[in-house]
Amino acid sequence: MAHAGAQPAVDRLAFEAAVRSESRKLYGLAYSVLRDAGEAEDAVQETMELAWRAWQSMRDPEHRGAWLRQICLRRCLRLRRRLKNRWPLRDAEPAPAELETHDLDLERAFARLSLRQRAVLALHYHYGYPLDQCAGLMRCRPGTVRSHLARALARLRKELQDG
Amino acid sequence: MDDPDLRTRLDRYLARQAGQRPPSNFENHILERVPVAARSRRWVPEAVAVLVAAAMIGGLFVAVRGTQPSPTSPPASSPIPEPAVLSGAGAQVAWLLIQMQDQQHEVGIVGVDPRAYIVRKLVPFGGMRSGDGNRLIASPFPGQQSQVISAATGEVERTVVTQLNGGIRSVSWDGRFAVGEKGTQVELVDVDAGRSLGIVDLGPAGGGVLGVSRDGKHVYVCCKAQKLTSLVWDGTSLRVEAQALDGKDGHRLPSCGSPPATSRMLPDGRTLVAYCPDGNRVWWLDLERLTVTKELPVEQGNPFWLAPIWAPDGSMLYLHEPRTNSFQAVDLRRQTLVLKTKLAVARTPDPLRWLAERFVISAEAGCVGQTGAVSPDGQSLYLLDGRGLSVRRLPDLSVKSYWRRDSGMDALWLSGDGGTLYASDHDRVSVFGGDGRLVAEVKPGASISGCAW
Repeated sequence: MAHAGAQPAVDRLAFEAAVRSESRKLYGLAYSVLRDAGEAEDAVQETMELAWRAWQSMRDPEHRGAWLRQICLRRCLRLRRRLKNRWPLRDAEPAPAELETHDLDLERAFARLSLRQRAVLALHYHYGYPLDQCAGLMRCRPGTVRSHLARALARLRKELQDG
Repeated sequence: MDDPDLRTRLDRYLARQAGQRPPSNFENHILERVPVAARSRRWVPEAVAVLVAAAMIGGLFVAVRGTQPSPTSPPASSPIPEPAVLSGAGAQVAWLLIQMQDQQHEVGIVGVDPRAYIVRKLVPFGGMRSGDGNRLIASPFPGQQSQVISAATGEVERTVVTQLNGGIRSVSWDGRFAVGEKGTQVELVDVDAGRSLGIVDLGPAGGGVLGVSRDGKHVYVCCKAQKLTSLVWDGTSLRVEAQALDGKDGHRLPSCGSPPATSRMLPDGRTLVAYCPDGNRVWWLDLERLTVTKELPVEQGNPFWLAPIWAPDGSMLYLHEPRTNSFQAVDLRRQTLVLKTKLAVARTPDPLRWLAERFVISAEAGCVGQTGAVSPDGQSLYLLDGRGLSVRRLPDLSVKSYWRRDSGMDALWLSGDGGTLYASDHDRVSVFGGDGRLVAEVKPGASISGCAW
């Protein structure tokens, strides 16, 4: 007899496979937005915990990747809000480890963007999502995403010119 | 985007960000923490079988190792968690570095107890304190032997007859073993028995004792001639157990150009974390594999300014630079910098003080004055933040209260049980109870450097 609340073995195996195949990709996404290894780990951890709870609602393996990215992105935005209250002045400067990246000017400019601006840049330019899909992932209107993108680019240009 | 240059830079930058990799065992950590209900039950028999098999293989491995020691993979000491609360009588006494003005500026230490009585002055003194706080092991002076001194009373417990008569460089956590060093030679000393266990001459690889394991069986020496050496006491002699050469066979040694300012063994019993002021780095050294697993850059204005503050449970290292009030927090388990911030700017009553600070660097006698201390439960930080002696919540650093404002205090030491806080300025020690009440102030009749043992 199955344990109350336990899920079928096939789900557990599928979930474990998803953890092994998707965690690192999710970590890359989370790191792009949060710019912090520990916070990115936390975001992926929470994503997987949430995903497991709702695993039976997502039966189509083809859409699991997008589904996990959506959860992860939302966790990033929420996690960041929470951590911002815990760690004061977090965004003041890039961490020393990050100073070793080559494009320091862009690094500093990127750090000054809002989370949503960073997210739309990463999703659209690196992960190749059309803006409409970015809006779906970020749970906002396409017009809002376009606005985030335009402001992000304008701010980057300004920071790079001033910097 | 109509700006190809920005697009190129952005593509490159985003690719680098997205290419960041988590720790190698990341997925396993996730699976361990996600409550997959039936999995653990179903796998219990398999897990037991695996554990039994692992134990058998481990036993076989140890047996084989007993006859054929591996050249590069020494067994680390078994993990023995160090208690966060040190309850011994000696651990409650602050031993502070002093410089006698009237005796040719001789350097010594003074002990102050929780009632603000001076326990004893030991001048001259050079040596180390055991991790449990109960013993002081004095390096031998010319023509003398090493001495073991009770931290509770300041009395000499015994004299240790060493062969090398070298300076004491490391003491095991419980003070039962000490490591002396002279030139390229290393000596392991059984403190309780009061005798030498053996000497090894490491030649070019000698010099730079890093630490001794808690059980006193392993001594680690780093990093002359780009080598990290592990010595073992096998019950009859001290000998080289393994040696790693930087860059060879996957071994990587610290890039630090000088001995670390402070180091600590993590609860896993095999990882040594050290802060290297010379290279602005915190590094993690796997003593079992004899390799650095991580080097984390931190920011510092001057090597003599950045005070390292360890959480008693070994989970965090905080770095406070009192001149600038910059504060960094390193999560030792995750090997990441979790906080970098600047506390409120210190008041400067003297308008020219900032100018003096740019040119006058008070490098103390081989150590950095401790400007902070963490309570044994890890919840509170006592910090000299420029405005006075503050008590702050961890991890958010919010101020709970100020015990003293605008003081000239420049160093802190917290007793092992967390019940007494000692704060020193140039010639005075203020003793506070755990509730912030000032017990008394005492003047030891010497210049206090701010370094505590």
